[in-house]
Amino acid sequence: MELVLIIAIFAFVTILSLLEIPKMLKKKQDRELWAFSVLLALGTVVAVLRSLDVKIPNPSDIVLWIYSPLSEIMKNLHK
Amino acid sequence: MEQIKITNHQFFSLIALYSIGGSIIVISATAAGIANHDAWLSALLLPVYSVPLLWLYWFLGSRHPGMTLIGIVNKILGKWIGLIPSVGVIFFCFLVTGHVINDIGKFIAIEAMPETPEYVIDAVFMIVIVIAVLYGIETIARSSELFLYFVAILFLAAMILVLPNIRIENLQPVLENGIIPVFKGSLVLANISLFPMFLVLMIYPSVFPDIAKARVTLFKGFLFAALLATIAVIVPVLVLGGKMTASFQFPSFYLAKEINVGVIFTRLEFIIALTWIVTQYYAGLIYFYSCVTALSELLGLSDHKRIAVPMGFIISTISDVALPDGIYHLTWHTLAWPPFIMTFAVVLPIVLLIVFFIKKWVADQG
Repeated sequence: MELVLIIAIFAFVTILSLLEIPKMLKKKQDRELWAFSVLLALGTVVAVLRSLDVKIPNPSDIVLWIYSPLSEIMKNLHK
Repeated sequence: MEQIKITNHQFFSLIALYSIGGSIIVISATAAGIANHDAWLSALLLPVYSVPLLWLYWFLGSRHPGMTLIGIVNKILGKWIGLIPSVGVIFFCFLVTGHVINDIGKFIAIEAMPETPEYVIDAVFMIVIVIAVLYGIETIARSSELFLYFVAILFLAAMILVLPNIRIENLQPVLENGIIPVFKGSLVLANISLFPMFLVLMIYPSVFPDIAKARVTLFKGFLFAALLATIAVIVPVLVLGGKMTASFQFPSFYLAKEINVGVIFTRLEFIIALTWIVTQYYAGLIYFYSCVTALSELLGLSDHKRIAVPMGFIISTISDVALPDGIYHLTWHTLAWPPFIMTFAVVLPIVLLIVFFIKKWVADQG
């Protein structure tokens, strides 16, 4: 099952790159190409880790942590 | 960037749909959980709060024609200090898109398709959102004109059909626990439907440049949404009572199950579900559009559509990690969401306004 998922992810990434990168090269959009590549690489890493059932950190936890000093006030608000 | 313009009425319907966004089905449970059967008073207070806040957003936009929120932040706070709130806004939009998608996925997985894994439903919704962003804000605004009336008419029809079941005693005694819970309830309602309106700054001076009309349209759009929100709060309380409403996760949805007119109009709850999915979709769409345009402006890209697909890919993989279960969802929305949104919707615009006036004063002196 993991293998199928990973193959699907790489198929998606390859097709997307084949469709998008030539367009950006033709228009000489270097910055776009960089942003696109970094985001896509990040997405691929996360997707592969998830399909291997690796526990990845939850981005919502950062927000909980930042605002933890206010949690007493918020508990009162929702009473 | 090429010049995209949307009309006045498109702006109105986009604002209205975005503000209704997602709240229609859960809002009464949240409000009734705090204010009990006085929740409808909390809902009536919302337009009062909205006046200074919407004026603030309008004013910031009106002094910076053609800019987005990121541009305004960078101009007022400078490039380096402005980086912190800009990254914050992008992270906010990124995370909330994931949450919105996940809400839809959870709802459908619980109520309609229990066999399908949640992340498949999430991914399908994300694909539709990415396609809409690839078509551009003009198309989004045009489709919102159509869907606003679809949502309003279906929702009002369901609410009218449930009217025979109301019991006026459910609202009595008025102000049993004093006025404090009413204010608390309205603040929590504002967290859901009023404060997300700060993202209007991603749309209004840049693609809707008519500053004179924008003020009236902004208020009209919000009032339309507030009217629907008030109905969505008052009817469940009237039918089910305060305690019952608070105990349901999706009160309006269960409410529609009560509809029983003859043998033809029964089990209409998926009308409510449909309106909720459409509005939730528009909320997710605005968050995602803001996320992509804000990031591309911060990086200095000329075309935001290029990064829409990889961004959507990341969000769809992260969406069911972001809110793993119902308890985490509740904790997060109680402890983190109110200060999180207030930072961007209240604190940031006020800071911007103060710095704007100080800079103006200094410029006038020298």
